[in-house]
Amino acid sequence: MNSSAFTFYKFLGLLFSAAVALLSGIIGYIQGADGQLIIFYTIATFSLILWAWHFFSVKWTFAQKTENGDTAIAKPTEAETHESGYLGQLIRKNRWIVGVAIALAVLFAVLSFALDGFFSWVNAFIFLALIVFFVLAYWLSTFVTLNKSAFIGCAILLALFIAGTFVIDGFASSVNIKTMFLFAAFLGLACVGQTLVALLGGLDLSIPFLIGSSNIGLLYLISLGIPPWIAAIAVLLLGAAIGFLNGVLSFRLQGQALIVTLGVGFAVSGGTQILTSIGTEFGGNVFGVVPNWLVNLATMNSTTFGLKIPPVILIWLVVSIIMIYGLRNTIYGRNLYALGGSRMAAKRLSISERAYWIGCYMISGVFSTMTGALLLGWSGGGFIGVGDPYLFMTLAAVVVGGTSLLGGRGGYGFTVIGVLLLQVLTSFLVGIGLSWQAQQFVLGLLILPMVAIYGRSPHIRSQI
Amino acid sequence: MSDATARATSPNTHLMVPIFIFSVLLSAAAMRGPGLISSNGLGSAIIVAAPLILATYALTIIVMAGRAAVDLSIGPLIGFINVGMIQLQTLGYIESPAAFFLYALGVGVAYQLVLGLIIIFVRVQPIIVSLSGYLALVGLNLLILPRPGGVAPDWMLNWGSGTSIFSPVLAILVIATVAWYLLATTAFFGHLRLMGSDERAAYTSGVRINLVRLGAHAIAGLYAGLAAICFTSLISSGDPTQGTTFTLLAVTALVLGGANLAGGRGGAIGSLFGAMNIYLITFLLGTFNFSIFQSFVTDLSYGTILVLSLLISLALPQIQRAAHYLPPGRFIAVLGCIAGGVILHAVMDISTLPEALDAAVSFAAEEVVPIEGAPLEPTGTIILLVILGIAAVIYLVNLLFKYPRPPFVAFLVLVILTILGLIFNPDPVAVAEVAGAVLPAPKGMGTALEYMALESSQFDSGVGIYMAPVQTAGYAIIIALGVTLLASLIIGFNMPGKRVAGTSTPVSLGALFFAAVAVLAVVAIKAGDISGMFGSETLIVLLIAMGLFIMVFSPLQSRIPHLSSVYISALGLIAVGFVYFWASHGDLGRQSAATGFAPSVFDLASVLPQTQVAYAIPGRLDVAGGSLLEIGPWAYSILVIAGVQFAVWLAMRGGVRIREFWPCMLVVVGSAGAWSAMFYSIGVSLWNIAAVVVVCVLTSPFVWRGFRTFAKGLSLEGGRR
Repeated sequence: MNSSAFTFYKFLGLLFSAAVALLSGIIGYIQGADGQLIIFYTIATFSLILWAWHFFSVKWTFAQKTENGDTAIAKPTEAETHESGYLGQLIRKNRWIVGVAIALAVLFAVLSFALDGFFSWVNAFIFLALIVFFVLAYWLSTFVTLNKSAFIGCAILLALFIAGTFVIDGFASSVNIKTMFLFAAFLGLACVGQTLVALLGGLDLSIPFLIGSSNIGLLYLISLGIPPWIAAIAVLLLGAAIGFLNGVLSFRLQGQALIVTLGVGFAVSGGTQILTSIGTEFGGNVFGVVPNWLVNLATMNSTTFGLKIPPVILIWLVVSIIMIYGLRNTIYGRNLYALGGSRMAAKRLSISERAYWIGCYMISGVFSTMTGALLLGWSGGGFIGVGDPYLFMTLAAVVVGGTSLLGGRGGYGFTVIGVLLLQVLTSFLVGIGLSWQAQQFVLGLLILPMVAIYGRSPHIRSQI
Repeated sequence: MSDATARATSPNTHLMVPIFIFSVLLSAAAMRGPGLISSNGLGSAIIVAAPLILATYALTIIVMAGRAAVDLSIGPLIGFINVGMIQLQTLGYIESPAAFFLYALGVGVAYQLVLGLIIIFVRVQPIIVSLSGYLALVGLNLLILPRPGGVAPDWMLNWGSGTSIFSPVLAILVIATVAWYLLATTAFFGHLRLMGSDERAAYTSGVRINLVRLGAHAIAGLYAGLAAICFTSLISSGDPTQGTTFTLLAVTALVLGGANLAGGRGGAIGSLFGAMNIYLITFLLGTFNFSIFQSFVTDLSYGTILVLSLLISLALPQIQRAAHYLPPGRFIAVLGCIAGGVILHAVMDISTLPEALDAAVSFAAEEVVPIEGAPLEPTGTIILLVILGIAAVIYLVNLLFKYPRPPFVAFLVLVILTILGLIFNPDPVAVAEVAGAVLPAPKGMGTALEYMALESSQFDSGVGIYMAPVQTAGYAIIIALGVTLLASLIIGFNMPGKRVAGTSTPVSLGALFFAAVAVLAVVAIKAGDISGMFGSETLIVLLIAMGLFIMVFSPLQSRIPHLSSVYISALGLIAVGFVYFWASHGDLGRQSAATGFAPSVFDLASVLPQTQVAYAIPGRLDVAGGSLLEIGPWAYSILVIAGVQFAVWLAMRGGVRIREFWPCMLVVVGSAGAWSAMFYSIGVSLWNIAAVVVVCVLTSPFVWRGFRTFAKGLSLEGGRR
């Protein structure tokens, strides 16, 4: 800390206290208080804050530095010779944050002018608070070295939730929270496989197609007269089989997993639709009666052992705990990370690469079909397009959570954060009355900065 | 030089898979819907496929830049440009074509540059950047234009009609492709490929990788803009959701085209084939009537073909090792011949079935299509053929200047003679009486080229060449046999095993050969009972002579590197000649009663809307109790190939080891397959094919000897021993 910093902080304190004093003055004026009182309290606030500021921050830090023999006042340091003040240095050091904040402010201004009724003082205040919160979180995150993405994710989650509570009526109500958890559970279950596969360095884009296929396939089997539980098991086994195929193909075709799984997904969804629409008039739609237990698994009003929580949330909870524990503490989980981190090294440790690829894709297939079956219980009718939103949402949740798509870094805990984040964000966007299109737009724009905060790869010159 | 040229075949081997799939699909498409091979069919094919092709180009160059940067947002970007264009036009901001192009290209480039800048400076994985672009643009498109609507500008409206091959869209496509090739010659392109396959190596060797990546994105933006323009002209309106489908289609096309998603490998030809394959799949599936299953079947086939082509590409190294003697050019030649045969079969055989004719006519009557005065524009395919011909001639002239040798000049002369004969065929047109009706003489050009184009220039006069069929054909067979045998004898005499090619050109051999050809030509003209110099028979003789010429001289002139490609093409050409002048218009082997007037049906089909033409069931495949008939030809082809191989083996026993010839085996198998398929497809009876194959078997030892010398000339064997 040098003298220029001292000056900077001094002026910052001055500015801050002036702003607060002005605010209190304005509030007093609006409330119609007595003029003398207003003046008195304004001056008192100003001086008190200034004094506290000076005492706690500037004087303390400055004094501490000087005690250590840092003769900062007498000698100007190198930084000062550059003609630029401490503010400039600070801005330059955190130019990304400042840039993003300014960009957001501009966006806010543009939106205020473009959309009628967008601008309100509450919105502006929340916006300001969000920015301050983010800056704070960023500053805090410099102290976090381990699992930084989880920290940032939690921070954003918290911020979004607070903002949502402010802006939207009933955002924090139990019904809404339950709804959010319900949808998050679907997304989270669909993301299990994607996380595992991403840890290996692969991708699984067949998830949405499997969800849709199992959705109509299960109903079709049930409508054929097969006992529902047998049908469900059969569908899960089929999912595992398709996952097996995915795994074998993706392992053989290294680096092309994106296309392989996409192709398999296309084929599966086409095939299922052909199978289920043979002999019917309705292409792609299957009609039948969904058994009660399946409905009870996944609808809002359902109960678990008397608790008013849909079982699917508990299923997700259990799966999450198993996944997080399994990835961290079991030999299989550690091997998975080893494979994702360095294939060569893992091979030397005689970890079977193929077995893990196939296993992960099989798990992915099982969980995808499970999601499809649960979604059938939720909606009560088969529809192939039910999986469509999951095509990019699973990917986005994994990435936003902080699992690297290149493999070896991340985990299911991160994905849970990512899922919750996306879900709260979606609820927030729905809550403020955005149409589906606008949600999509905002979501697309937000994914990038969220990943950019921590998911940046090093510059090429440091990779050599 | 010989070693290098012979072995430098590997870089393009990845093209084999797309080419193979393309030829199979094209054959199948022509069988199912012969309407594809007409002005209408090709025109609409170009219109429909153009946006996809251009989008695939855009994707290709980004993928080539490496970092697994598949731009998922290419589809929404096309949609975005499209809806923006329509909205701006509705509001009256842009009007002129120049403004449209500027807008589309500008927006494409701007968007891609932003994407590139984010990838470079924010350093997030490209797929995430494009993913977020995808989501954002999908939403934005629907915000700009909530539902399909709007009208494309007036000048663009007739682009999308797809009635003629030569539309502005084709021009855009050609320019884009040519531009790619110009680009491929620059240093930038080399840097791009280097960066795609190893970014660190590129960085350390001083390539300015940021600049190269930005350049790739900018070029991709240009292609995306062009794709959006073609897309707009296709749908003639704005559509916020349809563009989005291009992402998956283009990625599929990219992989079908053999590009490597990890970067570094890819090119315009592969992407072109990939995109056309996608179109052909859609077309093919459209000819079936799946009713409600249509889209599902499409999904299923996309997925399956995608995975299959990836699996084939896995086996590519093995194929490469086995077929290093078979460069893509030759591969195209073989497959092209087969596909051509099937197409001919489809349009000549199937569409002349009486039912098809009846159906078409009755439909025309119902819809009161004024057939007499219908404005026909059937010249599209003819012009296309002429252009292809000119391209071929340019290629040959190029070769000529590279290798100015007497045999080659002679070869060119033969080719020119043949082409002239095809164009100005002064065969007397007989006013034939068919089924009691006197058909009027054709008022059109009266050239053989009409038939090449599969359209006649006048609707009501389908009658072209009419030969006294059986007699002439019999003569022709005898002549062909004679020519082949004679030429084989010549080869046999002049091909002692010791001679190494290229050392000397035996002038005597050439003289003998030309003399033989001349004599045979005269004999053919006399025997064929046809007056006029360029009768069909003469053409056949000339074609055969051309093939034999290649056969004879390829061993001797081994300095021409692509000669064996030319050789196979010549075989194919011969087969095409047979197809046209014997099988189609003579009675040789034709089982259908409605002979010889195929083109008229074609014209009718092109008048009618393509989707409403009733496609006849392939006759040979649907004979009652025809399961044996289906198996028969396949068994036959296998038998043919096995027989050829056996004969070769017998012939090789004395003195020459078969191992040396193993690399050539594919060529022989390919050409034998081409021949058989050609003849079978045209409906020649098995007897005739048998005759041809007997000739093939008889001559094969000589051909093999020739190949041996050829291989020696290229000193191919050196590395193998």
